[in-house]
Amino acid sequence: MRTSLSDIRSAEKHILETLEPAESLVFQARLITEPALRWNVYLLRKIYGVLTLRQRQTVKTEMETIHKRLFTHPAKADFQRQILQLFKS
Amino acid sequence: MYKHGFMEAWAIPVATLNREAMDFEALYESAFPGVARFVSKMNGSFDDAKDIFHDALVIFHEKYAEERDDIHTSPEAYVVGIAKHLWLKRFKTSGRNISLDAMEASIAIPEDYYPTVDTSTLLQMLEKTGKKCLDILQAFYYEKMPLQALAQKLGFGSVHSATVQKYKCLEKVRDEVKNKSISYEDFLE
Repeated sequence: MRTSLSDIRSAEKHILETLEPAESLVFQARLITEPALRWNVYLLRKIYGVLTLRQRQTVKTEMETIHKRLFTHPAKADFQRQILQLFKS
Repeated sequence: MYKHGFMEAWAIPVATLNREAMDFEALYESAFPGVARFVSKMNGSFDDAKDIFHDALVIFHEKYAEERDDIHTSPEAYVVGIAKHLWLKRFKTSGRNISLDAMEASIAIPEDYYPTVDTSTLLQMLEKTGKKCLDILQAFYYEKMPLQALAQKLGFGSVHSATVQKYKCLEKVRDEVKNKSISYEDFLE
């Protein structure tokens, strides 16, 4: 694996706190002396945040599909009535 | 299990290699009435109930994957507890108007649940330029299958090849962010 990919792997393990103690010490020392590595770790965390958001949107899309099915299927009429009657003004 | 999870800002996706598929439809049917009753009681609308419920299910799904052994109540009761917290956050309602039992009070909503503008903007940008890699990364972190099966599904000959591709994708996505010339200050929140 080339160096840049190896650095990404180490950065991920650093974020996950799964580096071996010796590796962790070396990586932390590099973070102090290498601003570019620090910046890359920062961006990696941002990307994980983006992936989390994307996954949540995927789950919500699934929820929307289930919602539509449950509120249109004739076999679910009792369920629909049970919910809708709560919001009758 | 990874040490970091959705609970934290800057969360890393939770590995789901052993995560069981959740029967969302069954949970939807069994848990929505409780949330709908609560929202109705708070004078909310059907759409409010639906929105809050969907968010509560997303959060429950994450908590179930991460902290299953710490959930000592029924999924339905837990989802209602999450919904109460979300209602408090969304409508800035006084906690005095909503009674939380001990279990409900112990529930914490992930700090990063409501995304910052820059995270949403970044996702929109990457969907246009790096969708394929986002798909691979999302599959890698969230697919409910062993690595070997995942590697096959993604079309790689081995787990090693798939893992290398994951790191290549992380690099590609990272470089796309860099190439957008977004300054460091733009990311600070």
